[in-house]
Amino acid sequence: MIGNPVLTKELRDRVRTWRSPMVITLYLGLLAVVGGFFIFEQTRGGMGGPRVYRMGIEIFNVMAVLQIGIIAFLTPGLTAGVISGERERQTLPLLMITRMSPLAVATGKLISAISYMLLLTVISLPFYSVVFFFGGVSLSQFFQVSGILMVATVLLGSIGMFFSSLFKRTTVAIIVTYAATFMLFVGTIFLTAFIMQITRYYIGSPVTGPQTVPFVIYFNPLVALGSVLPMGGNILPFSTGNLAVQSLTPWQVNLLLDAAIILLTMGLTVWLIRPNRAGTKRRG
Amino acid sequence: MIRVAGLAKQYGKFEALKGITFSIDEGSIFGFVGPNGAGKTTTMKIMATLMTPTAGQAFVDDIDVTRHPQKVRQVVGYMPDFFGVYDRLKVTEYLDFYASCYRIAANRRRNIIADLLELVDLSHKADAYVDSLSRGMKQRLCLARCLVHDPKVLILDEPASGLDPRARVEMRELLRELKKMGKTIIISSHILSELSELCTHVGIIEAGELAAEGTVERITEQLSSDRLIQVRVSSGQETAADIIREQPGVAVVTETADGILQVSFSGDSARQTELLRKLINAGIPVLSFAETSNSLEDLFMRITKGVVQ
Repeated sequence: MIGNPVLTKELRDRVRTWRSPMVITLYLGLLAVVGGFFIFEQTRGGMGGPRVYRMGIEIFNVMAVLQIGIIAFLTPGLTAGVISGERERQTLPLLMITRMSPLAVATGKLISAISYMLLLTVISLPFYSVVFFFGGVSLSQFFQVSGILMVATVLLGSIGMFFSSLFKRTTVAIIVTYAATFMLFVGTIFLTAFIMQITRYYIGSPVTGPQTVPFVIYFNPLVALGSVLPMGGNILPFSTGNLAVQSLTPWQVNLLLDAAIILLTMGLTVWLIRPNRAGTKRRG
Repeated sequence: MIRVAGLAKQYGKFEALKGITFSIDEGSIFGFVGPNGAGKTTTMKIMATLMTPTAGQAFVDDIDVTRHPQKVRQVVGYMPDFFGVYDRLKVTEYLDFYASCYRIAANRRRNIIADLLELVDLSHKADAYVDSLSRGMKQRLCLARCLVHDPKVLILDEPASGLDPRARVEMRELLRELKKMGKTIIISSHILSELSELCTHVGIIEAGELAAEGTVERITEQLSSDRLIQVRVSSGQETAADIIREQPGVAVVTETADGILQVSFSGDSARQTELLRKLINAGIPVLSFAETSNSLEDLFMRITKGVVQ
C-alpha cells in the first residue's frame, strides 16, 4: 500500500500546508486543557484512597469521548474535499487516464486521511500515560478503545469521501458530510427517543423489564465506545433500555454496521470516479 | 493509427457529435478546427477514454477505446484545455507522481523526468513549486506530464490557448520536435494559421459534424475552387467588369473605387490564369491580379457558418 502513488502524494501534500501543524497544535492544546482541567478537578481533594482507582477510569473515559468528538469534528473536513478538490483542480480526469484504478485512488485518499488521524492519536499517547499513573484501565481496554476510534475514523472518512465524489463542489460535500456525522452521533439518539416514545404511546410500556431500544441506536459510534469503556454505561445512550440484539455486544453490532457502510460508500465512490465518468463534463 | 467511425455523443437532448468519421495516419499531426461547442473536446475525450460514445467507434493504435480503455491509456498522452496541476508539488515531484501512476519503475523515473524537463526546457525549474511557474511553463509541464509513459499518440486540446506569442512559438517548436520523434499528434486550436503551418492533416468540425477533412494541401485546394480575386485596373473598369462577368465560374463581381474589382470565382488555377489572359488580350491595363485570401482561416470561416459560438 505504501507504493500507492496517490497515498505518497497526499501525505506529502498534507504536511506542506499551514493547516497541518495548526490542527496538531489545536488538537493537543484541547486535549491538554480539557484533560488537565478534569485531572485538576478530580485531584483537588487529594489523591489517596479508593477514589484513585475510579479517577483513572473517569479520566480515561473523558479522554476517549473527547477524542471521538475530535475525530467527528476533523475527519469530515479531512476527507470531504479529497475527490471534489481533484475535480475543482481538474486533475481527476488526468489521474483516471493513468494506470491507477479507481479503487487504488480511493483507498490512497482514505488511508492518507486516516494516517493523519492516526498521527493525531499517536501524539496524544503521552496524555493517556496519565491514566496509567492512576490505574484502573487495562491495556486490552486501551487497545479496544483505540480500535473503536480507528473504525469510527474509517467510517467517517469513507462517508466524507463518498459525498466528495458525489458532489462537484467541496463546500457542499463538507456540509453534507458534517450533517451525516451529526445524524450518526446525535440524530440516531433523537430518532431512537422518538421511536421509543411513539411505541410507548401506541403500544404501551412492557409489563416486565425495560423497554426495547430500537435498532437504529446501533449506528451511533458512541454505543460502540460506551460498551467497551470501563464503567462505560454512563455514556452509553439508553443504557437502561433493553437493546435489540442480545447475542452480540453493542460494539460488535456497531462494527458490523460500520463495515457495511464503509464497503457501500467505498464501492459507490469507486463507481462515481471511474474514468468514463471523471471527464463527463461537457466542453467544446 | 487512429480511426473514428460514425462517432456520436448525446447529452440528454443535445447532440454534441452527429456521427463523425475520419482517420489519421501514423506520424502525422492532425489539426482539429472548429468553433466553441462544435464537438472537438468531446471527440478528444472519447479518444482519451474519458467518455463513452453514444454510438460509433473509435480506434487508437487499432485498439477499440470503448472495449479496451486500459490498453488505449498506455498508448495515449492526453492534455486537456486546462492546466490540472498540484500547486504544492515541485516540478520533479509532479512528474514523478504521474510516472508512478503509470507504474514506471522508480529507478527509471529519475532519467525519464530529467529527459522530459530538458525536452520542454524546464530543467532549470526542476525544484521549483508548480505554483510558481508561468502559464507557458505550466503548459509545457503538462505536455511533459502526458509524455511520461512515452505514448505513441498525443491528444492535445488547445495547447496554445492563453499563451503569449513567444510561448506559442515555443509550443509549436516543441510539437515539431515531437513529430520528429515519431509521435502521432491530434491538436485542436482556434489559431488556424498556426495549425496550417504545423499540421499535415486538418479536420474542420461544426455543430458536431465534420465539415471538411484531409491534408492541408487538399483543404487549400478545396478553398481554391471558391476563391476571391481582387483585380486592379488603371482604366476601363466597366469594360473589365463586363469581360470578367462573361467568364465561366464567376459568381459575383463587385466594383469598388480606384479601379478595384472583387471577383468571387469558383474555378481551378487554370481558369484563373485564363481569366487574366482574357483581360490582357482585351487591352485592359491590369495593375494587379491577386487572391485576397488563401488561408485555412478563410476556408474555416466559409465552411463554418458560426452556428455554435
